[in-house]
Amino acid sequence: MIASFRALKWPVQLCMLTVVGLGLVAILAPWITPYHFDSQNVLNSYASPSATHWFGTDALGRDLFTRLVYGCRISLSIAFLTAFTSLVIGVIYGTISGYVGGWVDTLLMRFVDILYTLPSLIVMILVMLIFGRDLTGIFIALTVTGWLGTARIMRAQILSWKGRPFVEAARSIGIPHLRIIALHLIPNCIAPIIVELSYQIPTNILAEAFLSFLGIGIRPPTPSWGILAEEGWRSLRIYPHLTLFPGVLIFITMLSFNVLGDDLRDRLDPFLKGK
Amino acid sequence: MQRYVNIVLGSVLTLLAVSLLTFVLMKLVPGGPFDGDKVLPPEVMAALNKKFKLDLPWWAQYLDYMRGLFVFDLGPSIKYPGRSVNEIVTESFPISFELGFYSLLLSIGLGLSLGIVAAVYRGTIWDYSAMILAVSGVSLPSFMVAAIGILFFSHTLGILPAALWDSPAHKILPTIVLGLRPAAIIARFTRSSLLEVLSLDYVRTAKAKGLSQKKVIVVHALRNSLLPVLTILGPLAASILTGSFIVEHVFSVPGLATHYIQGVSNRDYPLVMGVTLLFAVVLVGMNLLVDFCYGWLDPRMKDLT
Repeated sequence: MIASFRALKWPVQLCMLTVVGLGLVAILAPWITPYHFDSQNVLNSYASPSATHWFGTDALGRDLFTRLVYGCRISLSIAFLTAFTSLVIGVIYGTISGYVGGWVDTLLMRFVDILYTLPSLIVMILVMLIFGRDLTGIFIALTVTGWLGTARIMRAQILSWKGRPFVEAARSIGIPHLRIIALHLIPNCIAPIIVELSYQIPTNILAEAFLSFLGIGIRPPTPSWGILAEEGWRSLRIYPHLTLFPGVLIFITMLSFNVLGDDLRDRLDPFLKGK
Repeated sequence: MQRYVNIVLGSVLTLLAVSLLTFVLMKLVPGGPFDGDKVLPPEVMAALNKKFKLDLPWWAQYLDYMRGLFVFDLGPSIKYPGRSVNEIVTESFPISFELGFYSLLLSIGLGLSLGIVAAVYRGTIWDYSAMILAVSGVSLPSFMVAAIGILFFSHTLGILPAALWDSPAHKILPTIVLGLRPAAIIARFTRSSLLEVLSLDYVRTAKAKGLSQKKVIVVHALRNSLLPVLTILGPLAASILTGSFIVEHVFSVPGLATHYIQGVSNRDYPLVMGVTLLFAVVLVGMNLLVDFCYGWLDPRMKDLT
């Protein structure tokens, strides 16, 4: 494992370390910082970065570093959970569509096309309001819009593999459909799906930040990075660091995931190289 | 011809489905337009509901809405009394369209140049810088770009206004903020597409017969490499549309996205429907345009009817 890590290019190594680091921060949040993310101290609001408050404090005197650390936990877990769930849904949907074929395929894919036409942000906003502005709401909102790409890729993959001789051979010796799908087809289709997953995570981080920034995401005081940026925006001219710190964190996280995704794609999917 | 008829027919069906889906989703959102801080007397509530036909079952409301849509009547706005959604939309659509159009132009110009430079000087410092710029552009959240732009150009230097949409100077920052991400996407796509074409046999032939590097790229390679780039114009329009939500919010631009967000939080149903349908029409129209252009630019597509 260490040997294969050494074989990577240094920017990729750096990004991988960043992602691992962020993951550790998210898991160890309560042990990293002595404060609670919502403990207020109005007497000490808008403090500049110092030894006791590394990134300063916000309008209510809450420690920004603490809120960023917990924000990491919330933003990352939303992104991972929704990316993984939409992956599972997309794989199942696309497999059914591609394997069954015929009118079922036409119908299922027409539905995906229609959802594709709607700008995803509009669907997210409506779904968010239907299910409430909390973690469940944002989870459902991001999942509802996130599985479409995976479904399309999976269908195309299944279509290109299901006619191959080894599948025919498997069927001719009487292996049931489900077993063929699970053991012969899905393992062959998984590479582009993993690449899609690696892009879905940064997309979700950004979408969550967008929604929160517009004031229709999760409700404060839950500290997601989007909410921190939105809260900071109100005093942008006087205390720019309140917006810039969360912004830089989102940027670094997105950059790391995107670079890792590009590298993964070049390895797993040589046909798409450089696209 | 049959192909085009099918595409247009499919788009109309898609738009119908989008309208139904949006309507149902919108009605599922809890709360109504008159759930304000003060509780209205039941008689007033009933009268208001009757006025905006909110007392009918949802499918009857939908049919009523569609009947209006047929003659391009988007209905009255619930929250802005006396104003129709048509009025609001004709006022704000040109603004959003202008913003989106400038950003699209900027992103195509910037993206193509970066992508071409990166591909032509493959493996050099130019390539790496262009691609570092591009991957950063994809990863930068737009409010971050906006924050830096506002702090530097309007706060520190004081040369550009930080909000609103009046003079040309007002339009510079929003356009740049909105156009950066699509530009990065185009740059990455152009680079890979051009690299692919540069490795083809006919390009080698062109080089072998002694054409200059410039001529090979401009006359032979570029044309074919731009075709795949054309196909991402549809998704790109969607990305610009999504971005416009943040940009209009941050710069207080009175465009469609601003009205959409207000409409949603006020449960102003006709306004939400109108804006959503307009967005969908723009996206579907963009995809149609790409489809038609593709058939026109690539004669091989004509055989695939």
